[in-house]
Amino acid sequence: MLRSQQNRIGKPLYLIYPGEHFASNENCFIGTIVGTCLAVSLFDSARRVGGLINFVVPGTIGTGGILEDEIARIGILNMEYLMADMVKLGCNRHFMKAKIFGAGHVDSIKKEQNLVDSNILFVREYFEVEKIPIEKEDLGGNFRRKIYFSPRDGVVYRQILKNNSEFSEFIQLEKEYVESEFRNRSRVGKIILFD
Amino acid sequence: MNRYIVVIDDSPTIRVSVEMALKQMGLPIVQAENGQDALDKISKIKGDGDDVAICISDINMPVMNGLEFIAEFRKVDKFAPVVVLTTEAEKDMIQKGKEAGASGWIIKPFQAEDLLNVVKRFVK
Repeated sequence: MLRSQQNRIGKPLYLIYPGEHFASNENCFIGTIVGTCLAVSLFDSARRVGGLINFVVPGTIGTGGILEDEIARIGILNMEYLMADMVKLGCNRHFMKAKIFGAGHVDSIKKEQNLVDSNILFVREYFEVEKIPIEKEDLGGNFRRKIYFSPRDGVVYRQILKNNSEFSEFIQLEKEYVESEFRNRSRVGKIILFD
Repeated sequence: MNRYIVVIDDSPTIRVSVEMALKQMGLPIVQAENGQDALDKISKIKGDGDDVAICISDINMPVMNGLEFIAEFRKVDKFAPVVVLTTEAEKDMIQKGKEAGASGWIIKPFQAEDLLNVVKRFVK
């Protein structure tokens, strides 16, 4: 993540890269660029705290849905990281609302035929199970998106990006991130027994 | 007398996933969305003459977090195992969990089979 104080927005800007998340109660912006990946913002209106995540579910989710799927658990884990940081700032899921962006059919990443559709399916089903309303969604298309999220009021500014050459660093980082998620998708955590 | 598995997490997705993973234990499962909710449900379980077989608890939850829950739970039950299931991986936090009275610590992501094996180890 990159923090910039000197910018034309006039507020601190936290730029998150593919695979990263950030939650804050500061008067700031959190920004990212997504192509294939999903950008999800969460806003707790009671606490006036928000968070943004940029991630991918590395594979195709089976017909059983996200609760019975090994690949989906990676997506759930990513959302848990963001949720945990928001809870540490005093948030409660009951007051959260989501906005979802990305899952674009961009040329540079073609790991699996249904990757993009599967990511869209994942994020919709996840918030349905979590009973968190989706306030806005802007998914699919064949372009990338630049997202600026204001965590104090939940406002998202979205810009469609047509000129890829301007964002080549992000494009390369997203490609590397997606490939690494595919390589590590069967990872498991750690078990520590005290007794 | 029934022995209950108590699953404590503010995420419905995780609660349902854990319940599905532990279904084959054949024990009744109670879900709670935070530590206080769990204590209320455990109080009712014990009040009805039943008991807690094991608690599976998250750490970061609103109202009452996992560490607070374990400390409070230990005041009413010194023996039932509490296994923490969390994204928290910091050594300090794990040590605090152990000191509060946790029996184990699972860092997500978890596989259903692994969780089941941990629970089987504690619940005979």
